[in-house]
Amino acid sequence: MIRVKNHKIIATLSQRSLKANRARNVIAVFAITLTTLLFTALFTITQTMIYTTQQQTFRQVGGSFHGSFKDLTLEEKEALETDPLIKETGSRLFLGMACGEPFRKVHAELSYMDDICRKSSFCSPEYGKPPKEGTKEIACDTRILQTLGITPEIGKPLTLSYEIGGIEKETITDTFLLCGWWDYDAANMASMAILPKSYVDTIITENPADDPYAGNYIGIGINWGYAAAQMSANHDLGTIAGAAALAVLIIFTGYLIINNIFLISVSGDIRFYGLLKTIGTTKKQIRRMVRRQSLLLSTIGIPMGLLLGYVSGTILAPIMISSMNDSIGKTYHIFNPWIFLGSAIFSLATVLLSCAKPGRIAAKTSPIEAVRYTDAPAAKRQRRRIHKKTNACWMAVANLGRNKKKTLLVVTSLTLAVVLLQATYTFTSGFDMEKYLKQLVVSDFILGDAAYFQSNYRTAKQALPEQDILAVSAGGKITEEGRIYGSYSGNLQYVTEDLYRNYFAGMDSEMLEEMLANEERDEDGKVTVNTHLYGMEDFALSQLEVFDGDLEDLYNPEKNVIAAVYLDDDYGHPMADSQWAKLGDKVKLRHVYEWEYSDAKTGEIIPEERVESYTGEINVKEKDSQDISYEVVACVLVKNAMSYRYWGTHQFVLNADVYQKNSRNSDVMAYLFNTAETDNEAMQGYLENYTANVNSALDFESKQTYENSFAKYRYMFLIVGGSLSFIIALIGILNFFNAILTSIYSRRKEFAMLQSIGMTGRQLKQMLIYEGLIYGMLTIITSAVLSFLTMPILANAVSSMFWFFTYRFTLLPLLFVIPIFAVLGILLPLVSYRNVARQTIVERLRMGE
Amino acid sequence: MPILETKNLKKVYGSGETAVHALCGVSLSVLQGEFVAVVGTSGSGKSTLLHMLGGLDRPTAGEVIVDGKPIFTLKDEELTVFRRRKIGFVFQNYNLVPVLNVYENIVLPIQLDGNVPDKDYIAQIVGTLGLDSKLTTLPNQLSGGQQQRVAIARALAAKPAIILADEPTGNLDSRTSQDVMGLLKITSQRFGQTMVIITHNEEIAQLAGRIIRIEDGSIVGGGQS
Repeated sequence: MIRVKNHKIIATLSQRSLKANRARNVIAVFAITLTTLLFTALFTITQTMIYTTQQQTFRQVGGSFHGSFKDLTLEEKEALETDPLIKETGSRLFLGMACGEPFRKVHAELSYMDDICRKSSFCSPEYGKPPKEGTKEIACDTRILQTLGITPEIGKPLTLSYEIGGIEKETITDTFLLCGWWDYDAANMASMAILPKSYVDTIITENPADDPYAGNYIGIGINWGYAAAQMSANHDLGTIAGAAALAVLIIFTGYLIINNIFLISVSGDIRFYGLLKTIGTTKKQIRRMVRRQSLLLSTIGIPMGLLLGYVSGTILAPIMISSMNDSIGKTYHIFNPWIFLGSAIFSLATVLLSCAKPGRIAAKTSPIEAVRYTDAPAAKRQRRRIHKKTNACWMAVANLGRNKKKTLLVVTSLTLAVVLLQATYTFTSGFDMEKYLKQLVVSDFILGDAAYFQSNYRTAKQALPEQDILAVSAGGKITEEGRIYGSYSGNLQYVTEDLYRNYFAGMDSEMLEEMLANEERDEDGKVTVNTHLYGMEDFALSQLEVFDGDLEDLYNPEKNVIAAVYLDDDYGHPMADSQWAKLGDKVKLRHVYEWEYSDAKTGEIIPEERVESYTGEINVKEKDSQDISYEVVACVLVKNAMSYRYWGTHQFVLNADVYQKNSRNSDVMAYLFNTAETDNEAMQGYLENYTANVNSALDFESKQTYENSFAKYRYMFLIVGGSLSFIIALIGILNFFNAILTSIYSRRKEFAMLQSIGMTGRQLKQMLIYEGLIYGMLTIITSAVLSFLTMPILANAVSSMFWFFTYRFTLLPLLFVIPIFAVLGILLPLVSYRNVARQTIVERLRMGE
Repeated sequence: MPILETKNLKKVYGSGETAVHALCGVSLSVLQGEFVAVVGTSGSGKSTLLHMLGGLDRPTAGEVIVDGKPIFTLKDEELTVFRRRKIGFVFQNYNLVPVLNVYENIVLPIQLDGNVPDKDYIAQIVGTLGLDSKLTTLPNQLSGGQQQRVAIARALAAKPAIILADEPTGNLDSRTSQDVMGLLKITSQRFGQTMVIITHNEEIAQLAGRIIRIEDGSIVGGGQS
């Protein structure tokens, strides 16, 4: 093959023909921009979501280290640091915990951290500097400052009491100078304060620790943040599949439009390519010309799309993240060059894919045929019967049939938008609030300790004080009310050995068998495990869902009867294996009135109030207890809102009086109540104020809370689905416009001829409007058919994912788009024709001669 | 009385120094049933003249009178309607509507006017032009000569006052050209149809009853009958 230096002339030709096609260029650049925008936004959102979830988990864990060692000696630490398997280490010297009045509720740790440790533990001062060696400087998070009531200011003195030591605590109070601080993240469980190493060393040498394990015990931790992030990534295979499907959809729509634009512009320029062929341009060169044009357009479109996509991605990501996962408060904005590279590659691929075929068509042009080329690709049908009357409408139909592929492309892309809109609407309007609330809400209001709502009801301190119940009752007219009593530990159930093994399933089997062998047994050979027992007053009992037996006896405080709690799946069906007790069974419970705690090593008795903060291993023994048998009269489901809100063991329900009498416990876990409809709002406000200002340890949930979270959920789908269908609709309309404009443009000469033989401008416009309306009609019809066919399938899939979804068939969105299509179908042809009509008939007739 | 008349027709494209005088005061007249050829070299202004005669373009000065009507007093829409009733066009590149078959193409001007085609008359035209077997064929299945015959039939269909043909044989080989010219002449005689043909081909022009010569936008011979 002869190699000639013809690149330059090809480049010149491409550029010149690019300049000649201004209208096409604008549409093409717009399409490329849009495609890139969609890719960038998609990638930004998914990346942000993954990163945010991971960061959030790290913060909950307290650091981004892969693993940690605790209680090391200096030598051990140095040995580890030089280990070749360890890439980076950071160390922290723990001094003690802040104590004194303001720190009752705030867990705050004082320590020295080196640079790496600070970074990985998210303890680098955002304002100011880390403490300097040899000084008494301190840096801490804003929660500590807030707790102390200090406004953040560099150099401000800060007095802090802290406890050091092992078993024998010693309290030290000292004054430091504030040298830096960072924002406290609610995800973090502990607040941190960092001090210089010199200070920590001095304190430790002055107060030698009496740690009984010193030297022979190293704590090991593996950061579960990574595993959790990985697991949720695996778990979210659906999300990834969804993102992939979306990417394919974007490629498809991008292809549809860019391909269409180039296809049309190539057929418009076909004589030009024919001419080039006649004077000896090769197929390859023509293909290169077309490709070059598309690449030139991409150099404008892609950067624009990257920018706009990144912006819209960063705006949309927080909305989506916060509605998907309530526990994530802060979204991390990431700037990852891979997002841009990836989006650019994807949209470039779409562009190249889209103009491959037009390029081939241009290359295949035979020079002779090109001269005769009309938009009708060598009709297969050679004859057509004669129609009685040739009118504008009929000609419009024939014109659309001229290039069926193009018509199909336009109708497909428009249909896609309409069906998507239809799906979004069906989807979001199917979110059934009644269904949602019915499943979740038990009463207008639920009052309890904040810990209860955090699924953290553990100790007697978290019980709801009676005086608060009384105070709240004064806030509005209460129509129904009931307490639920409960206790985390204190009640045991007798179960078979098999159930015992199930209960401790996570344990090492050898240890489990050893434990089981040591357990006390009753006359039936049963052993005890913990149970979560409810004592419910009448109103609470009435909120239980009974699916077997009868609850009536439970209202009677004289009877020794019990209800067995089953778990349900999302659709409210009880799961048979979630409870061992069946209707009529006897359930033997052991109510424990007093426990005895002792150190596992020394046997020393530990007073109950010190148990929580005790660091050594503890043995627990029952000191005083009573066994009572109950008959199961009902099998029930407890809605999450009024349950313990965690599931560790089998649960049972007793009458409130029976519960208090037999377990000798009156801890109120939650207080349910309804108010009169008219008082709901006032009560909401009253409770908001009460839990914020009067007793901030309390919290509440109301129907309103659930309605809000439901609205938020629906809003997310509306935003996501809405913006998706908006974008696709935009693409569809663009395609529509493009198809009409180019079809009119390429028929300029034909129209001039029609006018020369006597078609008036009015008749011509009429014909074009018919063309536009037929496009719209075809779209509506195919969308309606497709909706009829696909919506029930979609609804099925959706209702299996969301239990609160109720399918209602609707064609409302379709009705909504009909006028839009009508207006577009009339307006677009008129606008396009106006452009064409600027040229006189003679000018148009002379074209191409 | 002439069926077609122009009085001092002028057309100037552009203005100032770049002004091009395509027609500089053309006056001519054509009688009912005449078969006239306008001959001139490329750029002589003959196509511009034809466009003026057909009411496709408006002159800078002067007037065109068709069937006693000064056509440029009409508005655009009226002019279009006048055109489809009074003037038939035959173009060099046939200009048939690709989505309509032969018959539909022929009757298109009549139907655009909202009228029912005169079947006998159409059959006569079709017979004369030898298109009987092609009525349901689509244009892209026809040869150049056949397409031009369809175009002639279309021009005749509305019984216009005049038929204007712009290089009707320009895309045809010499044999087909002779055929087409022969057909034009025959139809002109048989239907008493006035025809004005524009050509640069002297040989073709010789078939006409009268030859009007045009050079640099002015008539140099044969302007009045």
